[in-house]
Amino acid sequence: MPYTHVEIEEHKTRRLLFLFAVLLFLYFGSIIVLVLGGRCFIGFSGSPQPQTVAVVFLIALATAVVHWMAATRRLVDRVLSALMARPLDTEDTYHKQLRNIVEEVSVATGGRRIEPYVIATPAMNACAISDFEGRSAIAVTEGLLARLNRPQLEAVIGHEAAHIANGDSLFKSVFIGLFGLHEEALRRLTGLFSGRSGMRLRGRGAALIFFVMLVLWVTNKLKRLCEMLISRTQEYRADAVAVRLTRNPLALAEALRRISGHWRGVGAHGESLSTLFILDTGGERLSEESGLTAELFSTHPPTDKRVALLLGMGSIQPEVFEQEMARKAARKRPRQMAPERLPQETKPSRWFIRAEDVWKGPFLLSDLAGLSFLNPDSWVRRDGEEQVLPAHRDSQVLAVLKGRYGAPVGGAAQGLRECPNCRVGLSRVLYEGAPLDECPACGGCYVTRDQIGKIFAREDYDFPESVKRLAQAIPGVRGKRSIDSKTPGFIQPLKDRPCPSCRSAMVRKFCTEAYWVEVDQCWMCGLTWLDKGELELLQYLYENRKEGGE
Amino acid sequence: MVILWAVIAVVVALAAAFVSAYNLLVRKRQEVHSAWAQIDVQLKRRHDLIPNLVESVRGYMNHERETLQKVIEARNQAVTATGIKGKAQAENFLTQTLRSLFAVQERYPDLKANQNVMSLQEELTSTENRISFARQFYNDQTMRLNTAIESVPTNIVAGMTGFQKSEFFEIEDPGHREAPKVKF
Repeated sequence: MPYTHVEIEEHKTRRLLFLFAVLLFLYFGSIIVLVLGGRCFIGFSGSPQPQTVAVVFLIALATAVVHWMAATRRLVDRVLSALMARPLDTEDTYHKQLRNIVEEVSVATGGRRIEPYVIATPAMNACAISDFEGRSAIAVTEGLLARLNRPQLEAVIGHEAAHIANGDSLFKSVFIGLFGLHEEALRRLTGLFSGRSGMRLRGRGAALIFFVMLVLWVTNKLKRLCEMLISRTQEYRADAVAVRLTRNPLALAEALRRISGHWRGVGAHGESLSTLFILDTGGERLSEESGLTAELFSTHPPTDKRVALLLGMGSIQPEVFEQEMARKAARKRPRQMAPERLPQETKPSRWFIRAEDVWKGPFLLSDLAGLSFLNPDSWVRRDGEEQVLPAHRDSQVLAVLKGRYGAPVGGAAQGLRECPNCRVGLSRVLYEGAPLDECPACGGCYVTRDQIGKIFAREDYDFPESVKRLAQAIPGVRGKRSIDSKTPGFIQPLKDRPCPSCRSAMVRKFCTEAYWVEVDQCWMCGLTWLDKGELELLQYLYENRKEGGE
Repeated sequence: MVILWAVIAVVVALAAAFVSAYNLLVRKRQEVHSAWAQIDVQLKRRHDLIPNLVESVRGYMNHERETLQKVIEARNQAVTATGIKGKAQAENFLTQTLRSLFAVQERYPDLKANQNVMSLQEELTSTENRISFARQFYNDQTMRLNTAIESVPTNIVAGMTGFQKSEFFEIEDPGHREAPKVKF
């Protein structure tokens, strides 16, 4: 640690006091301006009385205290939900590794408790949050988990842990808690009154609204200014502390370089929460530039400078490092074929079964279980009856099939017990480290939004030739931003199939406008049923999106 | 009269300095103790993981009985070791045997496909890191305590109250993480 605990604590208190002073000043300023403006408005003039100033000060103080209390309560939870961060999935191999790394780093800081969270987006970024209740959390995006190796991830976590240990993250979290609200309010108001469909106000009301917006706008600019004062030196220091914790400057340099070359946005709120993150979340490349403007207006110091400092610590020539990074970026990671996820071994009363276009049998009920060609989808006919049914509609055959695939494993809590097509129990399998509920018979699976997000970010397995060919056959609408009249926007409600998770209606539709893969999806919670191969297909389309459209 | 007050003032000041120096030493010693407790927790974790790992790889690695046996022996030695120096030695030996096990493991591709082995390996890697981090933290705290015991004026207090310097948890392994020079 760069300084002792006592110094850190003093520093922390000073900075928090400063924040409170800024808050108080803002309220005082805005109320005074409002009062003066109001007086001019009604026609009064002249300078305000000292009593008025005192009353305004007291009101400002009270508002500031209330605001402070409200903004700092359960701060970690609120920021995490704004980021849509989720707790770790205990079965996911990537998440297990993250949990381990966070615990390791917490050991290095002397045993401070840090909670790990993930944000389901393929972007690359990480942030640290702390609050007055003594909780600390580190949130990492799925993209970061998938693309960094263990030492690099550890370095990033080390950087975030350094923020927590230094008290930076408490300061920043409080800052976000206090002023994030302002920014949000401004955005809502502007949204309300802008555009052709926006509300119209005339006369005094409009002037008042305009006034409030002006005040909010000014406070917002002030917030930006404060943000600039705080963030940048802290990043250098956190880098140094991270190196001191993990003893690996090279891994941190590699991680920063990799993150800087990728998309770092983290959803709608990302922009206003940028200060919390290891690299800025904006699309603009300000932090990559140097010079006065960049120095003044970016929330983070230039990555090149940070990397250069780290390389100095690791005694590595910058040119050698850049060459090496470029070489690694160009090299495709060797990927193995995904192991067959379902053991497709199977075997077969008096039932005839249609297989390979001929009727086979008759078989006894006891033999059915062993028939390899009997699937839930196969056509079956009872001996002596005319009616032909799919196997899963015949209760006895279904019972045999259910017995064959075993009881549903996992997922039961969410109600995901049965395959909607085959009606046999789903089983828990791992695909690219993420647990999925998959049908052992047809190979289809349920995925939630979070799961799709993380699978898209990971690149463990290569794709079979069939998937590649199918993907190429899908029409290239990838460049389009919106559906026009020519795009076949097909949506078909599935009446007899409610979502097993939230019971709302499921529909059959294209996965997204850009990816024409037919899926069954729940309107409300986003739970999606993918037939066998569709997951790979979507993933393939996602990974190769740049070569396609635009 | 003035002289008396002056003497009293000096005595009080000295006593206050003594108490604060003593408390400082006590706090530092306590930090060393808790850092050591952390190492112990992590070592215990490693000792508990090893039998599981060995059991799950045994079936695949019939030709490596000797290596596995060595790991088990090293682990048992480490469990029974006492004292900071003794523990450090036994743990170093265990780390070396584990490393040779990991090296041999590379020759068995079947092992890599085994989910169970992979997750155990991840746990073990994690434990190794935790141990090295805990050691790093312990050594930092020890260094602070020792510095306080040797430097003026706390050395006088330490001498009078019998504070002992703490031992470092050292490793003789060349592969360990070097502390880089931190420059701003």
